[in-house]
Amino acid sequence: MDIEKLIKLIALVQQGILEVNNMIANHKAQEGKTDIEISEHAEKANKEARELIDRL
Amino acid sequence: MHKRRKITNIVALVLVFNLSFAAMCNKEDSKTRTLARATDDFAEGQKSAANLLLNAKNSGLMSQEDVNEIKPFLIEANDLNAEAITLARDFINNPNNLTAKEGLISIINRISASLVRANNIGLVRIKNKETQVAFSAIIIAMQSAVTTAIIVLKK
Repeated sequence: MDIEKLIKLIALVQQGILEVNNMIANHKAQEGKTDIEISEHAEKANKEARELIDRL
Repeated sequence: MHKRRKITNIVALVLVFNLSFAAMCNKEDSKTRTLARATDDFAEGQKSAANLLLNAKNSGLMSQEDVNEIKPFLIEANDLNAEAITLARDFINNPNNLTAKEGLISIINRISASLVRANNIGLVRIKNKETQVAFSAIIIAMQSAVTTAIIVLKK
């Protein structure tokens, strides 16, 4: 593997770790919430995602 | 041979993310909690993907034409996740609801296929390398949420 490809792979891993970190932070924010409350948050987040997608 | 090695690296990366994320999510959580979180993680991932593409478009890194090619797959995944959230709630209210469970497995498989298509078209349409890498990483993270949900439902 050449250096350029290795750098791309590292960048992919770093971005992936960032995303997983965001998810962990999201999980921490949900501590103490019921499953239904998390599900309601998912519904709200999905609607927010749709609004962003519609703006594309 | 070179191409095969590249594919092997990407597959290994996806597996590592999937396994680590699934392990993290399943450590102490119940089935219903893991499912609720998976749908939430997926929605948050969609927000990240949409924000990334919006920023790329607004900064001139992507044309509207390129964005338009990816958008239908994001809409499809978003619609499917809305269905998954509804079914997951039925399952949370009654974990013995086999209809909700089977429906969820079917929808989650469709979400996964939709993500693969979004990633494939993204690799072609996103010309900026950093944006391309970030988009693929977000897709991998969303696939991890999908994998977690499937593992929990199949247990």
